[in-house]
Amino acid sequence: MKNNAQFFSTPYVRLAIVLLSGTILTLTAIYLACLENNFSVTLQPGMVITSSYGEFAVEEIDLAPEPGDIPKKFDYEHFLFRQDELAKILKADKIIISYKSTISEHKASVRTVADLPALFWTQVVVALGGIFISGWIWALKPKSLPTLFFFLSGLGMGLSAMSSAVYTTRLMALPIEFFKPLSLTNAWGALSFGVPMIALFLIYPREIRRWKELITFEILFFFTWGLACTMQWWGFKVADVTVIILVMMVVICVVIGAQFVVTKNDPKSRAILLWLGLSVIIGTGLFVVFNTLRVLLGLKPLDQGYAFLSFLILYVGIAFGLKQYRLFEVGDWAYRFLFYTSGTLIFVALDAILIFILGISRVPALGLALVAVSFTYLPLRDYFWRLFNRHKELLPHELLREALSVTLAPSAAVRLQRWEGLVKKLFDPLEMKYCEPISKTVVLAPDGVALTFPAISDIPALRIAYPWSGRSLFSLRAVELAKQMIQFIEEAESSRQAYDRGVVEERLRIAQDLHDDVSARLLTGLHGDNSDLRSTIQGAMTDIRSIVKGIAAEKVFLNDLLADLRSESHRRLLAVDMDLVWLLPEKNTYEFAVDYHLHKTLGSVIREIVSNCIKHSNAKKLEVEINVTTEQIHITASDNGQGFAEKVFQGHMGFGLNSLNKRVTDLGGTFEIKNTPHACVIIVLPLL
Amino acid sequence: MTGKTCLIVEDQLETGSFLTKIVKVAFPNVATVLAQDLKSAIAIINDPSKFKDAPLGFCIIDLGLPDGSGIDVIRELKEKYPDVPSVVATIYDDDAFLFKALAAGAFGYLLKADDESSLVSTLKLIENNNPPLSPSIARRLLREFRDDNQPNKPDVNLSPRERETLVLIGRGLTVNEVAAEMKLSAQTVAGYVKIIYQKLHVSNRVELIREATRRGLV
Repeated sequence: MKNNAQFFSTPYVRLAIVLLSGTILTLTAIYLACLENNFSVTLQPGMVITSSYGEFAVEEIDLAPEPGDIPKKFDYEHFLFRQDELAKILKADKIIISYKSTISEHKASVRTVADLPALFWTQVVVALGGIFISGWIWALKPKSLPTLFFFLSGLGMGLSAMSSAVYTTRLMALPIEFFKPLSLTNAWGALSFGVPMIALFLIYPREIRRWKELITFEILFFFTWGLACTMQWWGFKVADVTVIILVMMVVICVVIGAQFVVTKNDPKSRAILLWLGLSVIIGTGLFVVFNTLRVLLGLKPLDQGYAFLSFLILYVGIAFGLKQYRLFEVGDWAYRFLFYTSGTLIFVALDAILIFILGISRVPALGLALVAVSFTYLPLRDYFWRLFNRHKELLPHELLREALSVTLAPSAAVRLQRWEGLVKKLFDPLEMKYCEPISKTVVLAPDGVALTFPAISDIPALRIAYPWSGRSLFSLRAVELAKQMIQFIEEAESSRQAYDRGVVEERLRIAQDLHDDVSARLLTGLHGDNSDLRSTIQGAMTDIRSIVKGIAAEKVFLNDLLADLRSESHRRLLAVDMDLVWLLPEKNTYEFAVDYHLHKTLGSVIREIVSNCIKHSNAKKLEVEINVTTEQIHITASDNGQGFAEKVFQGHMGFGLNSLNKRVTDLGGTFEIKNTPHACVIIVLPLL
Repeated sequence: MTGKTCLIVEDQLETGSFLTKIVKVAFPNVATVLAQDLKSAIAIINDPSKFKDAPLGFCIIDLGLPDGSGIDVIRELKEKYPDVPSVVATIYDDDAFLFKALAAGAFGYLLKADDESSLVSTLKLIENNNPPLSPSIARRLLREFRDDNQPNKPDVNLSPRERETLVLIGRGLTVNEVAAEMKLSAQTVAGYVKIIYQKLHVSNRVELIREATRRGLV
């Protein structure tokens, strides 16, 4: 049981079942078509056919290829009855035909396969095309509802065309026990094409709201209507099936229109819809225009057999769209599958031909078939494969250049951008998504649809799917290419890191020298006797400290910087017996890094204010208020001393205030001093 | 402190005499010895005759010496005179080596560029077991004690109160303000700071031993 389930679960077995069903249907059609006696006569109205079974006067109605096209209800039964009557007469070995006053005698011969007309084969080919193409897709994805609907509609169309092939190409007449079932199969086949097709567009490419209810309703509606027509209930006629077909066509167009709205923001689904919808509208539309519509308008319809050819457009169109638009998401797997299947079929057929027709014994025949397949089919297959998979490849030196440009990107954002660009250039995937890393190397998904890159330095792991716009799968070559690219980037990355380390070491060395040597030298000056220089030297030393932090690229958070400045100011003011009132922000308020320039300026501003206050104010207290908005830092410092000297407002600010003013305005801030009458400094610095 | 000796290790002569002057102002009856490099500092520490009259009371150590790091002097002192506090003389309180020196056993630091008055008061505070603690060092301490909580060694873990003290100082509050915030006396908070320094020393020793064991040295 379990084995059975597994056996049926392979696509090859499912396709074999589809192929077998198609073959059985074809053989049945051929068998039924060949039952008729061949008298080599073309029926004309006015002919009188006589045989040992009776006499039959041919009328216009007997020539109608499609009884469903007969508009009157009574005439359908009448037609079948007349067909049956004629068929009985034609069972004889010999008939006598009198037509336009000539009498001729005709002997019956058996109708052979070779006698079957092109019209018959056209419809068989259409039927098989529909069944095989839809069955092929279903065989690949049997559990998906869209492929099931597609297959059902293909099967319906196939049954319809296959039955039509038999009776539309009859020589003269078919007995009612064949004609009626064939005619009904044709009608129900048409229904079974339209109903699943509508259902398909209700869920594919996107599910339309309330699709379950809509599909149930649609099935009930059309099948009730169909049943009413074929059983001729409530005054419905068999000919009304044409109306049903027309209505279905309209509904299909409406549902495709609905899909067009639903897929508005989804270009991938929109592309699928355009191709699939166009194939269906053109295919069924041509049939309706050339056949159904003409019947309804009372015009002579195009021969149904040829009208069926338009369905072939539908299925062949879809087969071509499979790869380009990933219809039903089977992609080029479908083609690979088809190539192998046809390879096997050609192999078996060749083997059979060699044995049965050429009479070669089995073992050499097998060998010859194998050789023929490998020398002709396989190269041909490869040629087509390449034709389908044409895409530009990057040369190794180009790859290296691209890898370097990713590695040497000036920022993390640009690096990600370049990395995505490179992946697009190499694989052109329909889907790209950053994900959790699953391995340290490139991983190919088992079905070949997706490829996952590992995380490289600060680039997160990346999963890409449907390469080359979904035109094919990832090959092992693609995996090699991806691995090579990763290797290039990693090597370039490690070189860059080594270089960066060198740069950082050099910067740190410079910082260290500045910090230790220059500061120590300044310190000796500080501890000398010249007290005029004290504050200048202290200022220089705090500048060095900021510069060193900048060179060493230390990240400084605003919170911490304010804490340090407050503590330092406090210590300095305490040593000269002054109070500091400086409310600190709530915890975690300014948890963001400030850049070097702001860090340096903020430090200088606070230190200069404190120094000025200590030196010139005669104050006992300094109040500092700092407010931070998303764009600015507002600093207000005021003391309770004697205020600024008058000359300060006349442009003689002195070195300290001047350099403060310059630093603040250089950063795009504003600097304001006033007497309240105590000294007050208001500074606004932009946050970038 | 009266009747004791202060060892000053400082390579710059002007700064050395400046520090000597500060010590004399803070503690008039303390003898001073100046060493200008690592080698002579170690030699002095290992020569008991130097402290025959006045025993070693405390040390002020500059970290950047011409022949090595002052941290080695701190280690040597910790070894020979575990009870003698050493104080780092540094230019900046966020110096890369200052924290290492504090971990190696230093008990506080002096900022060499500070004014004389503030240096004298800092020295007196250290002598009173109230070592200074800057916000940046407090934050560094918090990081130091954050990751390796060792349940088996309560003596190297911070108590909640000690941790809170560090957080508040790290945010820029003074010891007095921290005390007000925690509704404690300034003396208690200063005691916490002292304990934190000691725990840092212990933690550092534990770390050194663990590292040595790992390398198979012990």
